[in-house]
Amino acid sequence: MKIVFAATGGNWDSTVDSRFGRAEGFALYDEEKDELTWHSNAENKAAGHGAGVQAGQKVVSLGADIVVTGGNFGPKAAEVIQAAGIKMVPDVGEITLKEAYNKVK
Amino acid sequence: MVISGKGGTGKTSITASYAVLGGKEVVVADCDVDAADMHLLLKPDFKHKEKFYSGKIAEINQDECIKCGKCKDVCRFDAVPVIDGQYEIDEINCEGCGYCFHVCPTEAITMKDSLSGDFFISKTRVDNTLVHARLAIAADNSGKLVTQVRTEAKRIAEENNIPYVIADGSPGIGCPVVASVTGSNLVVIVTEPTVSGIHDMSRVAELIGKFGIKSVCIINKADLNDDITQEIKRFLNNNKIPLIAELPYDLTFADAITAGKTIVEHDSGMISRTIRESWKKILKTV
Amino acid sequence: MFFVKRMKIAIASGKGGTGKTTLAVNLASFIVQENSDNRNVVLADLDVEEPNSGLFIKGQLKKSEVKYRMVPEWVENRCTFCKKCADVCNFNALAYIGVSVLIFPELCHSCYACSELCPENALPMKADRMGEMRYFLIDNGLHFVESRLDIGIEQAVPLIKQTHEFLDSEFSDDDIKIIDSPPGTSCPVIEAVKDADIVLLVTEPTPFGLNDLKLAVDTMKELDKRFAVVINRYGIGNDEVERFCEKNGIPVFGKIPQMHEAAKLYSNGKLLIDDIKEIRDEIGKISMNVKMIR
Repeated sequence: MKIVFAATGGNWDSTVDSRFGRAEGFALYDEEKDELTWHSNAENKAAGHGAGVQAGQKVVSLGADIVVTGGNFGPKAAEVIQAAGIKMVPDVGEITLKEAYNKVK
Repeated sequence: MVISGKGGTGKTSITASYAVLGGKEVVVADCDVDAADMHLLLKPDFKHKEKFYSGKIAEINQDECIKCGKCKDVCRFDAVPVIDGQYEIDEINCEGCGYCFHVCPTEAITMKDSLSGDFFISKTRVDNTLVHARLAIAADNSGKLVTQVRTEAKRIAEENNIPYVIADGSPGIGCPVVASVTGSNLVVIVTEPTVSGIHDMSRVAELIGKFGIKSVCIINKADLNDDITQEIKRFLNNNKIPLIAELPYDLTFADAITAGKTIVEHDSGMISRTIRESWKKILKTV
Repeated sequence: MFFVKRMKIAIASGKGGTGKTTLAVNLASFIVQENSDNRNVVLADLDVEEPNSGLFIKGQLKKSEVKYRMVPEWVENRCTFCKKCADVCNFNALAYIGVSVLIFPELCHSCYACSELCPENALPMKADRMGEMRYFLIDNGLHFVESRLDIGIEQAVPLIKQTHEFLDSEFSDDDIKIIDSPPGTSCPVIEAVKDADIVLLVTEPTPFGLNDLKLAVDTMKELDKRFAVVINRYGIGNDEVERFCEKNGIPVFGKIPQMHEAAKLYSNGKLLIDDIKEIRDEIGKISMNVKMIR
């Protein structure tokens, strides 16, 4: 399974970002390969409107099965993610990626 | 919390008063970026200033342009006038869609960042922080600048362990209002007993209701029209919105602004007391 | 042959709550009552998020139209999933998610780029409801057009634009048009005042009023629009606004006095000109100043 975390950094002890659309970036954990990779959200943070739409698309393109964020998903982001059949896990709080992963498991 | 209401009802005056009463316990955000006025009462130092960009504007490189006119053909916003035989971009009309950029056969068009306005973080004369902005002329008042103001205010509050953020909201019901209201714990609706005031208030209440956020109400100029004040009270009752203050129609408000002071500093009588009490009620409700 | 001077008067302000609507409804009603040059008078409320003028005037509904703007619609069986649409859209109104294309009409600016650049014609544009325009004939002969955005619709400009188109097609240059604009200086205001022959900037004589007036003046200059100032609630605050206008050569067409009685009438949705002579005279002065331009 591929799990994407909205995050402030790409390490297991980085914190989950409380925002989604304007998160610092996304940490993708590929369970099969046991790989944690970082994907910056920089170009999207600057979006006027529709940051959630863009971020949602990005997560879809990463092939996520589950998306985790510290706070809420905005309505547009939610629509994109749900339409793609990805499971949403909001409100985990500002915990580390490691803790978030354990929660999801 | 956000202070919301129709223009002219006294939102800014009241928010500024709360800024003074809250002192170091509050970070103030002026979300009324199209007509920012709070700085006139709080005398900020504009310490941190940043240019703020949102969206794009097209630009034509005349050296590459072969005057084929494709850009003008596809533009739906009358943003490509021909002046003295040259194709130009009207920066006020240009929406930044980029259609022209995609069809130009010689790649003579680039999309550059559009200046939305200026963003500031200041220390006020009552020694707290004010986060504010000024929208550039003819800029798109998207929720983005407002969101930036609120996000920064929240960040500063969190980093410095300041318990409250009070925001002077944008008037109306459009996008900037939604941006200022979502994510708040409490909305303080300021209204007045006029047909316009009650009309706007019910629209705001409807919008806030949709987001499920707690709200309270202040009736300003309450003695101007007793009938409508009663009507407002009935509306509040029916919608379970607590009334936290009734302020009289009094030129003291205008005098205070003219003197560059907030009403709680300028007045020492009933008005000031009512506002102080409403602040206490807000702190209890939040 | 008489030369009829085209007269489209926009009423704007940097700040909300200064008295735009008050001036618009009273000025329009005054001109209609005087009827000195036998021209039709049209009042248009383009404050589409919060149109308020209608609270002050009553009449018969002549016409009601739902207003639409064009947004793309995804036709699945024509799509080859090339993603060009999502790449082209600068407003994030399209999301490509591998199996489908999602559309977010609230973000769409109706530029048609995605639709016209789609190689398979899989994104035809379709009409999406944004609000309503209503045209009333008021008891005193005034024509009144009001446009209102549906709640939740974020973009005001398309509705304002379409209302202007209606005004220009339904009425002629012989008819005097008064436009109640939205407050502020951003896009909707620009759209509302774009075609005006003169813009009246309403302000109050306080530091807030002056601050916002300066922004409004800068905007009018940027648009190269002819403008004048009307001071409302004259008597409160100080004389900084007057001195600013004097210093910058900005004509002040009128000073409507602060009066408790006026505030009370306003609160009840009543016109001021019918009950307060002083204000009627001042509105008359403004009307004359407007008619004398050029």
